[in-house]
Amino acid sequence: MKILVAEPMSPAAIELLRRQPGFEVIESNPKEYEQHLGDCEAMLVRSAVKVKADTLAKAPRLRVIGRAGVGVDNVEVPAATAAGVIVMNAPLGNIISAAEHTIGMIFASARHIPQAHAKLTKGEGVDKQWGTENIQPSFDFKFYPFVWQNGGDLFNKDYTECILNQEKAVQAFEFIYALRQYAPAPEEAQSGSPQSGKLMMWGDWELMNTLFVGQLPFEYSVAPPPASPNTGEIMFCGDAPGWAMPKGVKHPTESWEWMKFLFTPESLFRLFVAIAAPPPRISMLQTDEYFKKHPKYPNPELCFEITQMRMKAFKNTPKISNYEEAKTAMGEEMSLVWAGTMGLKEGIDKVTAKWTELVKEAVIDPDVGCAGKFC
Amino acid sequence: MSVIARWRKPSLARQEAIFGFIFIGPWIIGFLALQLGPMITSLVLSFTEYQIVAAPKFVGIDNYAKLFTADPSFLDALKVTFTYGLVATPAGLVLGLLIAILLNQNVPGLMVWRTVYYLPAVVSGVAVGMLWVWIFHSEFGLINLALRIILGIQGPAWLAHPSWALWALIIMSFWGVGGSMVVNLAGLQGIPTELYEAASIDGATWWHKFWRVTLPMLSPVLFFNLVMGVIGSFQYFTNAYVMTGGGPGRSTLFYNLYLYKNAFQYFKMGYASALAWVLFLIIMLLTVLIFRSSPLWVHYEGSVKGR
Repeated sequence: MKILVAEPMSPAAIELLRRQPGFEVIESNPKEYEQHLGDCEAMLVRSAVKVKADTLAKAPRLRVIGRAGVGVDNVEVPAATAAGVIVMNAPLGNIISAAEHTIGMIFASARHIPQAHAKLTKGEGVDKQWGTENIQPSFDFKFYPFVWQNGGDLFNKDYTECILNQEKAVQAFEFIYALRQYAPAPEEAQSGSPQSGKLMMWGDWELMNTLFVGQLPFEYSVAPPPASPNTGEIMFCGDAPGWAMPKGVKHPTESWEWMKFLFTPESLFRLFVAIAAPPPRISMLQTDEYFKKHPKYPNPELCFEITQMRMKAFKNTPKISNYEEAKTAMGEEMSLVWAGTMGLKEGIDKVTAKWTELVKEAVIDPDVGCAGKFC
Repeated sequence: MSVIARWRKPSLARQEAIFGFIFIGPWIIGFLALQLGPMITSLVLSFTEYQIVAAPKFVGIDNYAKLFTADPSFLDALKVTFTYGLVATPAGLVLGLLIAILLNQNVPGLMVWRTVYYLPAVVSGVAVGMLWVWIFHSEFGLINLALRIILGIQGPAWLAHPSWALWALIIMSFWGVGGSMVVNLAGLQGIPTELYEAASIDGATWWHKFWRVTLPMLSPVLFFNLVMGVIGSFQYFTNAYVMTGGGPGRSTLFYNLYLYKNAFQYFKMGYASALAWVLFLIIMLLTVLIFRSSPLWVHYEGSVKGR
């Protein structure tokens, strides 16, 4: 007798059938079983194969259909009866397993096991505290707009002139922003320290510059090296701030969203160009000791002179920027988000409102301008 | 013959006056240079916009106007400071009084107890702040540990939660009741015992003795503690700066801390000066109020009030 096993079944069952003398077992699968229908006398199905009237019509010699399961909903029983085919099931087959599974689900729900597992794998651990206290924007801030001319030099070839242009600065930020697409997902986010091996949303110029000259085995390297065409060294007069999200931060999703907000061109412009940079910010950068102390600046005297020149270039009364207030506003609102008493969207809205206010207060030199679209 | 103008020796009174001025001279110079001078400068600066890199620019009452109309942080700061003052000061007074009464009796180890209670009042500064940061730690701090062991509840994340940070600071202020306790003790010991004996003879209960003898005789001391407490609570800065830096959101942004931020972080000296003078006016108003109310409840020896 030919028996068609229309779906993959347990080998033990097939073995049982094969051992009977006179039984010929054809193993098939739901896609191909129809070709064997013509001469089979018995058929075994599970749940994928739907035995309807036309299937029965294709199997004239069929005498019995065995369903490896409890219900027979995938077999049209009236049609089988009309065709004279016996339909059998296995009513006690897996009732013990189903019962065990149900009890297991009851326990899992009662003890919140799936939620705990999800939390653990997401890195939240058992700590109920929110917080990204590890996100410290590296506001060791001595920013100057970066210039993408002369291959990234701030100076001309003779090092007699330093041209700082806001439009170029905005371009620089758009470049940083474009780096986002190369950043890893929050789950893979790692520290932005040079030793970590993975870059994430780190806008620090030093890091990016070392990255660009190929000194570190980072995975992402997307920009042409902003090196001096003369010496090959990176030429800049200041650092730009950056952010990184260390491993193990408590709520990576929210932190990621927050950092994406910080890296929008509008935010970057508000925070680092309109609020902070013009008018010139008083910082240690403007003393020559700073330049002498930091060996990476090849021309400390020139850098110092450039900053002095820049201060004079601004026609407004020099003013200390609103950068600290912007940072405080950000900290105040976001600390409520991290404490869990305010939603992220609301926090971002409040921070944006405060920054817009501060941009209005920051007096931007009309000659230098506002680079148009971000004011 | 030439007439030589003789320097007549000044009279005794005049001499004494001159010596008097010489003696208080150092203090006068210090006062003028270090207190009165800066006060006047700050008053003048409060009408200017002064950011250190440039000369002060006169803006009239702009700073004050902005303070009262356009600054939500100012209102938050006031709210926080007033909450702290209204809760911590009376509670501290009451606690100090209770402990002083307790330690006025013959308990074993009296001197040890008095020393122990007074000790926290003399330590201060950043170290204390860091100590209390540890005590308020959400997992391993003493307070949450005690709550977990004794009461079985999970304490809040004290300094990280906007609703609890201020309460943490208030609780922390109670460890300084030793200062007022010592003054209360001195006052308690100055109450003549005849009064108590007379009260006992008249059949007074302990409550009557407390309410009718102790408190009135102690009221000058309580008055002093109240005034000092109010002034101190409005000048609260160190712990807020060290422990929370303004707290989650602006929940521990004390007035002094906000002033500090404006002056030394945002470099808005004119605005900060305006803030300082508003604080001065507030404290002065409260102190005047307390002084004006004192005839109602402060009994100085020798004055008879009420029945």
